[in-house]
Amino acid sequence: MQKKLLPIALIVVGLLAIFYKPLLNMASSAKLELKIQQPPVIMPSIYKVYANENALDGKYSLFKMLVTNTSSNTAKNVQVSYQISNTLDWKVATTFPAILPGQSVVVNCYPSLPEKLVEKTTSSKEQVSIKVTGTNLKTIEENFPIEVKGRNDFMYSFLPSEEIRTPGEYFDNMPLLSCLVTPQDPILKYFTQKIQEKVLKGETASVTNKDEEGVRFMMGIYNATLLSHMVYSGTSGIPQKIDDISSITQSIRLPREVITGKTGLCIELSLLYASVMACAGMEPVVYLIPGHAYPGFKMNGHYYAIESTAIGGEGIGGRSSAEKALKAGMDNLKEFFQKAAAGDDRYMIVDIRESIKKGAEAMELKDDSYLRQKIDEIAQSFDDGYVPKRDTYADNNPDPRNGGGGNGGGNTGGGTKSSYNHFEGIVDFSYPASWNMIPRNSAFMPQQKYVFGSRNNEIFVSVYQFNGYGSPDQAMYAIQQFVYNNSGGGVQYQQAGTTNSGYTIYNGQTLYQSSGLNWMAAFKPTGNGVVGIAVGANMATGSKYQNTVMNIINSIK
Amino acid sequence: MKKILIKFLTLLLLINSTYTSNAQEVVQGLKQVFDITPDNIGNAMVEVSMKLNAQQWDIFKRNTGNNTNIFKRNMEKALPKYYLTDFNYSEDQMDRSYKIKFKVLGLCYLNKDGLWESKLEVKNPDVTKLSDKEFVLTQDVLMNGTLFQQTQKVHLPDGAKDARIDKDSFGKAVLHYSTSTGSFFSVISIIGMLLTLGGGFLLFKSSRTPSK
Repeated sequence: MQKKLLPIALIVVGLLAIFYKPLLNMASSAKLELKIQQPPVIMPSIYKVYANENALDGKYSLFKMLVTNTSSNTAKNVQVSYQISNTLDWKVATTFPAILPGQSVVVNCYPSLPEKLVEKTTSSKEQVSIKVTGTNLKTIEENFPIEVKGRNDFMYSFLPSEEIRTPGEYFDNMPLLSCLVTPQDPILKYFTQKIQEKVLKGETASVTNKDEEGVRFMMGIYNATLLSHMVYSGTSGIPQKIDDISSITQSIRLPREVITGKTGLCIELSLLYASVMACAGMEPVVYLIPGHAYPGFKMNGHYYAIESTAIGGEGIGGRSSAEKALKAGMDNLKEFFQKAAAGDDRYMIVDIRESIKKGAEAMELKDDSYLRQKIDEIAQSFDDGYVPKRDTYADNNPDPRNGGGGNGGGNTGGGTKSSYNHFEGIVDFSYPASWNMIPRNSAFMPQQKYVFGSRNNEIFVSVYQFNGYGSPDQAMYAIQQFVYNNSGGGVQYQQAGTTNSGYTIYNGQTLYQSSGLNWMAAFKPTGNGVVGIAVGANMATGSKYQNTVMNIINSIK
Repeated sequence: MKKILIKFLTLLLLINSTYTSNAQEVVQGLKQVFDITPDNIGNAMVEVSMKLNAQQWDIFKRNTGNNTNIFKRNMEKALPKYYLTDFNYSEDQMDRSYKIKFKVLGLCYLNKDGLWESKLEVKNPDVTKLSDKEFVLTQDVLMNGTLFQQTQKVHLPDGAKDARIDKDSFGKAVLHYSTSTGSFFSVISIIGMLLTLGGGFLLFKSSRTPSK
């Protein structure tokens, strides 16, 4: 027996030497260290981008995670899975058969978010859970909160504040705007067909590839917006700070909402034009400049532009003819290329087809018989001989079908002229006759000379006079400081254009702890200072007073 | 991996964009050499070296100045899928040349067959295999009137073998290679096998010896 002891010992040691590693792995566990980077929000409008790892170089993932094996044992069959509360059930992001000691692997998560996400109209706070499992691992679970925005919300940059180097980087997400260009939307297609049929009486821009035909098409869209009484209006856009990221988040209405709502901000009108032109097979572009955006297209290496907001209304630049809007757009374009060539990165072009090619695709939108009906109603105004209902501040411009300017500066529901009082003094404007003057009190800013408000206090207009001030921006800054110092409220605003009579128009919000105001303001410099008005409505009223606000702003002279 | 190279090209174009778009002059071919060296655990050192002519150097310096951090942040922005670390920039002003080095974490990973794998993210790359451990990729890219002549060398780690370029399910090129990361394990295993065989032989021999 003793003679067999040595051989048996040799065999045991030999087998241990052969299988020591698997045996060791079974007995010893590996340890992984995670480093996670996540975006500040999820924007439903770009759900197709999230799902595509090649879209825009894979920049827009749900999270990026560096997994490093910090132990001396190989981690086996490592699986990374994730879920988003109320949005997405557990999914496997990736699996690694082995991660060696010291090895790092990168996990980029590109989730296929449910299509119903595009029906989401409000923001919600959700939780992203990440689970890392493995054969010889203790399960690791990590969570982070994330805000899932509404489908209209667009955050202009995800870059942390400290990484912003140039003003243009505040708009780092611009290529994603093409996700809001919806040429495949059945409603948009229907609207495009109506323009092609009734306004243009046929068009061949994408077939003949002739520049003049492209320009005619673009002017046709402008005339369609004029004829349908579309007006230039504001929408909420507020600076937002999430962790170390500060960005402007703007609620951008979809092209179908702009058509049927008959109102649009510059960026919304630009996206509408881009959608219609893309639907017709053209190559649309959107030009972005500080505080403004306007649409255009490129053809045969040439760029064209139109000032789509020239439909604005009397108070905000008048309702120009398509020819004037085209001229204004082309003038803007000259300045655009000068600034861009000088290296000002705030002047940028979003080439819609190029962005789509890079994966920034639009959301899927369903057909809707009600919206089609609305398009039919709108398209009636395209018919020859159609007599539009004149609005409160309708101007004397001829009908664009006859080659002239716009028709009507207000919008439906604006009331009649007789239902408005006229204010003459520091500035001239009109306000609803049912409103009362609010007596001055201690909450008034010294420069706030008069305030008229509705009986239910939901909307009011203030008349300002800033003696000795040099510019409208200075006046806006003074208001911002006053609100902050006296009520702790935050005033956010952006320039929305200028009027022919020299007023600078602002869109903005004033946010208090539990309430807020949406407002528009118009200020202009005079010999002695700056004068103007601000019309604000309680945020809780939504778009109820949108027409009234526009009517008052349109009436200022 | 290839994506990194193309992205670097984009980065350089960003640097030169003002010049190329304003002056409407064609800058002569810019020669770039990329050295990509994966280590034994899948991280890779990338070294980019460039030599410029007088005019190009002037534009390059005008756009970057002393802010070499611009390379780091632009690379990180251009390569959002990767983790980049250990940036280093050096230049030889007299020679009008510069080098940028950085490390890409997890560029290669082990697949289910135990082979190292790295996605080139490009279809039909022009690749020449110099040895079992070295590849050269060449390409000329014309962008904004600027010709970029790129030479990209991939130096696989010591012990790398059976390196080849395959296609994935989407037709994109994927680099595969194996390494002898288990060499120590192999020596011990061989010793173990010898001991087992020796033990077995002695056991067999002792069982054949008649007991007295």
